[in-house]
Amino acid sequence: MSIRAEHLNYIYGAGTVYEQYALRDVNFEIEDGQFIGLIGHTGSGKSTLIQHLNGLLRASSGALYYNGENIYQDGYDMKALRSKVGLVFQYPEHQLFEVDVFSDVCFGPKNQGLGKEEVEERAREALKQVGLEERFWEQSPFELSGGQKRRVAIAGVLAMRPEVLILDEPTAGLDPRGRDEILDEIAQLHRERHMTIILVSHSMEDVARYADRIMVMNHGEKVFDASPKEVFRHYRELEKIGLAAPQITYIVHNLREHGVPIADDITTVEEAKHAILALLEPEGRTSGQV
Amino acid sequence: MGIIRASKLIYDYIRRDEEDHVEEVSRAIDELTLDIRKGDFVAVLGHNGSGKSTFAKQLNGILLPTDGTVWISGMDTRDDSHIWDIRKTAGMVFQNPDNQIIGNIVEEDVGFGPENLGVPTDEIWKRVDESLEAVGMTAYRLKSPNKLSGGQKQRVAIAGIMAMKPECIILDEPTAMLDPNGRREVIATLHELNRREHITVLLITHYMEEAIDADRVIVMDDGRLVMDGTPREVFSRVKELKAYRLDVPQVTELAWELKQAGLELSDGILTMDELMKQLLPVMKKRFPEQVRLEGE
Repeated sequence: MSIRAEHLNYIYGAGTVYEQYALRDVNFEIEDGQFIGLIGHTGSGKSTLIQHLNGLLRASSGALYYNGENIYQDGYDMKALRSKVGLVFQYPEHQLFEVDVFSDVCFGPKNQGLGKEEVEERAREALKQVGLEERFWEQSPFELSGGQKRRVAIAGVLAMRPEVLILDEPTAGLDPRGRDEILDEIAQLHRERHMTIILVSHSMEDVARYADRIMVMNHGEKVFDASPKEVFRHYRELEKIGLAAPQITYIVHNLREHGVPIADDITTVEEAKHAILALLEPEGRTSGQV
Repeated sequence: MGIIRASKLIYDYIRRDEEDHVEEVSRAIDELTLDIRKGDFVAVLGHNGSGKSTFAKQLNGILLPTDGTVWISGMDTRDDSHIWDIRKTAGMVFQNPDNQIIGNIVEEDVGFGPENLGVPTDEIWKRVDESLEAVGMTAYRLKSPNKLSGGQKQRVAIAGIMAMKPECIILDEPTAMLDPNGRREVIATLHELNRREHITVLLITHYMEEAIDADRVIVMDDGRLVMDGTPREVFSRVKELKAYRLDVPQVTELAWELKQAGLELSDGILTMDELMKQLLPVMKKRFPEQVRLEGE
């Protein structure tokens, strides 16, 4: 089970003077159960790319395989693909429309042609997965807080039981705790359900903490594709394309430049704390209190 | 007396049924008293639903107090005759740049505000020039706004407010939709305006790093003001902030964690430079041969 892209090109206004590559020769293979962070500045091609993955956009050339099947071949079931590859857009709460939370989450599976019982079973399960308490289920989605609305929208996609979940900046506009809660729930889906996750984010800190692989887009091309540690080691190149590394990475590199023998691939506060304390350990400066 | 003042401000959202009976009252702002000095750069933090945006909308009369009073430059927002002066004094910038831009080209968009205030044409162009210069967007004046990046669009929106010659700008999460570069651009622009034009800035944000260069940080929770101080004072109280669903910048968090583990560091370290100044001497003691202090 995998998603494989081969020489994907997507061209706007082909054959006109405005011709522009939104994707240029993009290649990758995403194995089942990976947690991918997809980063790049605004307009780098991230959103164009994820819309290819569930067939909303069709590549100008190249091929895209889902579980070994070319989704562009004649007779490929695009509708089935869209329930297997769930896409949560930016500000998904703007797409809520039903009279109550529960009905809204039922909308997706109902459209998959499932029976009432199955639909409701899935809706209940999805709402539990996003941690929305039952007392909210009968309420109008419009009366909920920002974080709760976003959970309802994510549940609406989960209720279709996708194998791959793509989220386009799921934490934009949420407070710090709200960000952590949503990301922890996504990590849990990944861990317990082995769902493949593709997280589009502008927060290098979040990507460093959750993803096991990062793909970096710039001007429609994939410029990095490796583990967070490897990618953020190139923080100077990332800066040149409008990105950055987590704040922690800068601290670590600064320490190194001053001769401190600390590893150069640290990307989270936890790791930095342990590494610094470990360095000081032999002298016993911190022992007894750690 | 400050440029923005609130005294025992209360605001209730009231929901009514079809017969206009009150169904539910929820208190968004609860006896908020606050005084903001002219020329200050103030960051407002608080979780979703803490009342920040409701408070912002009180400051140029989009919402009016249920009880208590708000004064902008001494003008009571409930006084109808001052509403236009209040909106000229306190300009607002919102989260989504695409909802705020209306002109076909940048300079037209920036001129929209003063034109609506009835400013003479020559003066409008002068203000457009100055405002675009102030936000560093002069080179884009003839471009179409939809060709700009998110950060550039927000700077155009800010220029549009500047063209109305406000004394104070209130920004409600202006960077929430931007990438890291866009965020840096907008925050740097705000500090420039604050420093050079002495514009009072009230920045509502969920990004803790954006608050560290402010003169003052206030934290709201349940419609009340719960913390108020310099960034260093506020960010020293890590546990309290987390209880309010907030956070601290990564540098501050690391310093705090190290201090908890027994390292001798001061409270409320906000920048990498501060951390280096304190951490390198500790490291030098451990690795005297290898470690160089700053400037060595």
